[in-house]
Amino acid sequence: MKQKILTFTLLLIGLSLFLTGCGAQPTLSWPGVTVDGNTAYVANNQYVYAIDLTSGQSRWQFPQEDAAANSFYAPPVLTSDGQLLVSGYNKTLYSISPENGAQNWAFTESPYRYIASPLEADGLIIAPTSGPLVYALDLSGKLRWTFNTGTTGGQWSAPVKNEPCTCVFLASMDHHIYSIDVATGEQKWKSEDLGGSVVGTPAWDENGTLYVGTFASELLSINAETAAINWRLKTDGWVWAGPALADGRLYFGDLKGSFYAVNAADGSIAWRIQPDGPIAGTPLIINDTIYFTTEAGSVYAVGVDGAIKSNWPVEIGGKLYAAPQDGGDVILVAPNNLPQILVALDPSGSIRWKFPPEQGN
Amino acid sequence: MWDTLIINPMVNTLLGIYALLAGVFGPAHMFGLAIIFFTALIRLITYPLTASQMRSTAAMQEFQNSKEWKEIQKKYKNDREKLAQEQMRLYKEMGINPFSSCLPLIIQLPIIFGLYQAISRALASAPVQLIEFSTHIYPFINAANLIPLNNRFLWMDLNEPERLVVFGLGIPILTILVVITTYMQQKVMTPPPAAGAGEQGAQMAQMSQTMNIYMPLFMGFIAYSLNAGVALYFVASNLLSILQYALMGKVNWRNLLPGRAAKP
Repeated sequence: MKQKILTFTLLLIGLSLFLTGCGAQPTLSWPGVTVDGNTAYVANNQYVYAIDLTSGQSRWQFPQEDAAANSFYAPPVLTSDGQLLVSGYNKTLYSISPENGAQNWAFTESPYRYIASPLEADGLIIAPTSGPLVYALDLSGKLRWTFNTGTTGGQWSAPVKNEPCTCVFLASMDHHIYSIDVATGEQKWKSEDLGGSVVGTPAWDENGTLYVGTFASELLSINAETAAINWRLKTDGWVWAGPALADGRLYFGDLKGSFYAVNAADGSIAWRIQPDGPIAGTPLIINDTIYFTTEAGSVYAVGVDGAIKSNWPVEIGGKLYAAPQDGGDVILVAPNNLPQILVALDPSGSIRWKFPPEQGN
Repeated sequence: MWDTLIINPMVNTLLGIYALLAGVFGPAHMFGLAIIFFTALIRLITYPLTASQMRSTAAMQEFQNSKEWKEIQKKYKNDREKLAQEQMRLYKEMGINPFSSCLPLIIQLPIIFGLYQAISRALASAPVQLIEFSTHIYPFINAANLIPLNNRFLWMDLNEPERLVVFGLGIPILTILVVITTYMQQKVMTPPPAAGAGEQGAQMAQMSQTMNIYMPLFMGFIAYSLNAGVALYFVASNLLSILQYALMGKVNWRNLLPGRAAKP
């Protein structure tokens, strides 16, 4: 009888582990990379790493102790006064030293999680949360104002500041774009319902136009002064990331795996290609080459004419959701589902180093 | 295969119910209600399995109480091999399949796990989860209009483990409800062991008693650890299960009274 009870208890424990572990969807990080000089700051899972771009070796990691309860989903942000800001899924916004990873301060007043990066604008840190609140802090981490969208959607992307305006533009999961006065935190305008969530940070141009992609499978051009929609372009799938803008063209991908070059003036498609998987990161444009990643684990390099460069795409493996970053003479990509959290590629398409290095290297 | 046959239909049914409710009443609180209706729908669909399981359990109960079985137990109490042979013979005579009460339960298990996973996936609270969730949605569902799902239900955020803060103290109301309803469900639905059923009956009674204590605690632990959406499903499932059995006239409320021995 005792054996039966023991078997039953073990079965319960096993089932418990299955339900709380395997059965539930794991909270997977979305790696974020920021480059400053010869250092890449990588936020991935529970840690932020400072990685030397020449050697591919870690300088420090934050936090140094075990941080199982936290996770990071966005690139760290360097402020004008030399702080490194990272948004924690544990409802905490951290300021750490880029020199050694020591914590300067932490803002813990949010009842909501942080998924998006903050933005420094006019001496304030604008930090959107995954709930209705957006916080504005001064550079020492003191709260200045709070903006409430009044919806449950939350914000998953960093706000953007359009220089002529004293405002920031906030893309929201609640299907709207908000224009908020930086000084006061007052709402200047709220766009109409765009038909779907906006996850990517909008692109903007000097003419006062915002460009956003939505889950309604559309790319939209929006007047940043009036919130009027200039044009809409239908895409094959959800547009996750914001587009990249260069020389009057918008470059972006969708979750059905199409990659587009679109004329910013009228929303007409210049060309489109079909890479090997869904695209969830904003492309990186260096000179006349457009780099983008796919969920299938490939990095593409494409010319402005839509032709894939020779030696590309490069298969990294894992899943590549995060946008590629310019690491000076290397292209940096941060894969999911791989032991390596950062891979540096030559413009020629060869892998220069991986962090952490693969065993045997 | 698992996703195609189980998860995808469930995810889309859940979204369909949410879309219907949100369309009529607005999105506020509707995902919580959608979970409750979805659980009820699954209970309704799996009713034939539940009924079949109950019939088999009743037949087994009849077998345990039969005079012939009691006599066989007495006669071969020191010969386990013969006892087993006679038991199989009697099963055959009475037209009982000893596995027929387990089979419907085994068939229901993937449905229960699928239902649990569908709710967890629909509550995607982070980017990778949402991208993964999007791959389960059928093209005819207007997901762009529905997302983000309104995850507020009463005082709860269905994405987070539930705590009702009273005077600064977070009370896990749903966890408490899960423990109570699981206990109730077990007590009113577990058939009592047959009187004079011998050693086997005593073992079953002890097993049942252990289960009555550990199962609610185990379910409570899961509800405490996971998001409120899943805990809400547990409560709804327990209550609907009791209701279903009550409508079938199989519930013995007296078993809930303290100090009362279980009666058939």
